[in-house]
Amino acid sequence: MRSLVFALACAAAGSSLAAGINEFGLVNTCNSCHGVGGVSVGPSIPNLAGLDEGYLKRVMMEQKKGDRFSTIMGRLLKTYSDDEIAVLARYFAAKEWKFIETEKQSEVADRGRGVYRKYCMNCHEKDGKEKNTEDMPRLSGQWPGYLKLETLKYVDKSFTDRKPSEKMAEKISHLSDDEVAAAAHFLASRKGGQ
Amino acid sequence: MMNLNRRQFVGAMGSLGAGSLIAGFPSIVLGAAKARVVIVGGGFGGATVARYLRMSAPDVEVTLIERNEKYVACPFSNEVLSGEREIASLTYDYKAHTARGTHVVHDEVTAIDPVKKMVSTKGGKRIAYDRLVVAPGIAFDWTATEGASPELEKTMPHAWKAGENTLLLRKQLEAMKDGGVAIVTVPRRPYRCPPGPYERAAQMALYFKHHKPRSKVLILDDGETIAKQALFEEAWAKLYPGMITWMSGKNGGKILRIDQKKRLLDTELGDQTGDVISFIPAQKAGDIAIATGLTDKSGWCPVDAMTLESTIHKSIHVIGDASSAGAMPKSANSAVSQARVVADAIVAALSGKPAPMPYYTNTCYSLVAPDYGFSIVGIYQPEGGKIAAVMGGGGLSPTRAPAYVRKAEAEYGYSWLKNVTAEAFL
Ligand SMILES: Cc1cc2nc3c(=O)[nH]c(=O)nc-3n(C[C@H](O)[C@H](O)[C@H](O)COP(=O)(O)OP(=O)(O)OC[C@H]3O[C@@H](n4cnc5c(N)ncnc54)[C@H](O)[C@@H]3O)c2cc1C
Ligand code: HEC
Ligand code: HEC
Repeated sequence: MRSLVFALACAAAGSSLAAGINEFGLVNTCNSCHGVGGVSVGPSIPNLAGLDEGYLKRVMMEQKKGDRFSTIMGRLLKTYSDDEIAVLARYFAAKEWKFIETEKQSEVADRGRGVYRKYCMNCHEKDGKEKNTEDMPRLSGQWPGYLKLETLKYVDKSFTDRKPSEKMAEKISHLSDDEVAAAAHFLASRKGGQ
Repeated sequence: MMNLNRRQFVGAMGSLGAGSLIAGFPSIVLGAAKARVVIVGGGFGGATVARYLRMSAPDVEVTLIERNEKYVACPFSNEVLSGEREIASLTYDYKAHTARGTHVVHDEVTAIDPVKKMVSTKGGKRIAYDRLVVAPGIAFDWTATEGASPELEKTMPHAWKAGENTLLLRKQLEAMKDGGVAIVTVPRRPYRCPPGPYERAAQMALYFKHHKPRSKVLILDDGETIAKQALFEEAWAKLYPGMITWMSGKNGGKILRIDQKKRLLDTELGDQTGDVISFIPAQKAGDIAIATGLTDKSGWCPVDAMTLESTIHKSIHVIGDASSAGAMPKSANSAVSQARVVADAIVAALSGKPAPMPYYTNTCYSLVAPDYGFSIVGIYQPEGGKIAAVMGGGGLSPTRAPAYVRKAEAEYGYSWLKNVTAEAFL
C-alpha cells in the first residue's frame, strides 16, 4: 500500500529511490556510537569518516546479511535497505579522515612497530604506502581499542566465528594479546600512514 | 525486511543532494525575523536538539533553558555504586553549547503559555518562541505506593537522577556490614531505563563480591518480566552465583506499602527489609509537562509519530523520557534519537516543508562487570500514527556468547557513552 503511494510520489517528483532518502535522519543515526560525522571519541568504536566508500559499503552489506561477524552492527543494519547503506557509505567516505590524538608510549610503539613490520606490513601496505581500498581499510590513526579488538578476533581462542580475512588469520593467529595491543598502539599513534 | 518506502522521504526535501550543508538542511528563508526555538530542559534530549539546530540551521535562534549549571548523566552511573567509576566522569556543563551560539539560560521554567507562545521562569524571565521543545525528563510519582514520600530518597536512595543521591547510595553500601542485604525495587512500567535496575543489582553484587562476599542483593519487582531477562539471568548466575535474587510482582516483588520508620516493604507475601534499600519510585513526565497540560491520563505526553509534536498543544514538541513515544523505551539513546528527529522536523516546519520521514533508533548497553556487557537494539518507524518497532529489526545480544564477545561489548559500551555524551554536551 505505502510502496504504491511512495512509488507514485517518486514518479511525480522524478527522483530516484536513493535521492528520496532523508539523508539527515539516516546518517545521524550512527552518531551516538561512531561520533558526530563519523569521528569517534571513544577508543573502541571506529572512525568512519574518510574510510573508502567501497569498503564501507561492502562491510555493511556483509554485516547486514550476517556474512561478517559483528556484535551489534548486524542487528542494527538488518532492516536498512541497500540504498540506505549506499547513501551511508557515500556520506562517510566523502568526509575527511582524522588521525586520532593519542599519547604515544614510545616503548610500546617501538614493540608494535616491530610486530607490524614483521607480520602485518606485507599485506597492509603497497610501495611503502598504506592501503585504503575496498578490500582493505586504512589502519593508521584509527582508534587503538578498536584495532586491538578487531585483531584479537584473529588471536583470541574464544572467538570461533569466521574471520573477515582467512589469510590474515593464517599469518597472525599465533601472536600474543600483548603483541596485538602493541601493534594496535603503534598503528593508532602513526600519522600520515608512515 | 522492512518496506523500503517507510524509510523514504516523501516530500520536497527529497530533491536535496548530499552536497547541501553538513547535515542536509536547506538554509531557511523566514523573512526578516529570525525564527525562535526555545528548549526546556538540557538533558540528553534537550541538549541534543540545540546541538543539531546550531549545526544545521544557523539562522534559527536557539535558547536552552536548564535549571542546573551541571548535568550528571545517568548511563553507567550504576558503576559509581560498585566503585568502578567516579561521578565526575559523568558530569557535564553547557559551555560547548554557549560556544556554538545557543543562548543558555540557567533558570527554572515555571509556566508555559501555549496560546501566547511564551515561557516564564522562576527568575522572572519571559521568553517567546515560535517552536518549543519540552524535554524535562521524569518526575517521581510518590503517590503510587502507600507510605512513600519524597523524604524517602534520603533513607532509601533511588539514585534514579544521577548525582548526590547516587553518592548517598554508594556511601550506604560502603557502610553496610558484610553479610547484609541490599534491596533494589523496580517500579510500575513504564519507567526510565528498563534494564537499569537489573544492571544496578549486578553492580552492587560486583562490589560485594570483592569487599563483602557474604552479602546479597534482592530485587523486588512490580513486573513479571524484565528487560534482557535471559541475558541478565545468565550473567548473574555466571558472575555472581547465589548473590542475586529476583522476585517478580506475583512472587512477592510487588510492594503494597512502605513503613519508613521500621524500614519495612510490605509485599503480598509478607514484609521485606534490607540493610540498604534503593527504592526506585514510580514515574511520570517532568512537572512542567504536567503543569502545561501536555500529559494525558497515563502521566506521559502523547506526541505525533512523525514530528513528536504534542497532540494536545500545537508548536510544542515533547521528547525524551517525558514523551509517550510508542514502542521506544525511555533511554538516553532514545532521547537523543528523538532530538535529531525534532531538529529535522522543526526546520522543515519553519521553512514550510512537509515533515521529513523520521529515523528512530535505540541502543542500550548493560554492564554487568567491566569486562562483561550486552546490548539491545531497537529500530522504529511511524506506523498507523504510532512509533512502532520495525519488524525483524534490532534485537538482543545472544546468550552463551564467548568471553571475547562479552568483553568487546563492554568496551563498545564505554565508547558509546563517550560518543553519546559528546553528541549531547560537547
Ligand atoms: C541508573 C540509570 C542508568 C541508565 N542507563 C542508561 C543507559 O545505559 N543507556 C541509556 O540510553 N539510558 C540510560 N538511562 C536513562 C537516561 O538517563 C534517561 O532516559 C535520559 O536521561 C532521558 O533524557 P531526557 O532529556 O528526557 O531527560 P533528563 O536527562 O532527565 O533531562 C531533563 C533535564 O531537564 C531539566 N528540567 C526539568 N524541568 C525543568 C524546568 N522546569 N526548567 C528547567 N529545566 C528543567 C532537568 O534539570 C534535566 O537536566 C539510565 C538511567 C538511570 C537512572
Ligand atoms: C550502537 C552502537 C553503534 C551504532 C548506532 C552504529 N555502529 Fe557501526 N559499529 C559499532 C561497533 C561496536 C562496531 C564494531 C563491529 C561490531 O562488533 O558490531 C561497528 C563497526 C562499524 C563498521 C566497520 C568499520 C570497519 O572499519 O570495519 C562500519 C562500516 C559501521 N560500523 C558503520 C556504521 C554506520 C554507517 C552506522 C549508522 C547507520 C553505524 N555504524 C551505527 C557500533 C555502532
Ligand atoms: C595475509 C594478509 C594480512 C596480514 C598478514 C595482516 N592483515 Fe590485517 N587485514 C587483511 C585484510 C585482507 C583485511 C580486510 C578484511 C576484510 O575487511 O574483509 C584486514 C583487516 C585488518 C583489520 C580490520 C580493520 C577495520 O577497520 O576493520 C585490522 C585491525 C588489521 N587487519 C590489523 C592487522 C594487524 C595488526 C596485522 C599484523 C599483526 C595484520 N592485520 C596482518 C590482511 C592481512
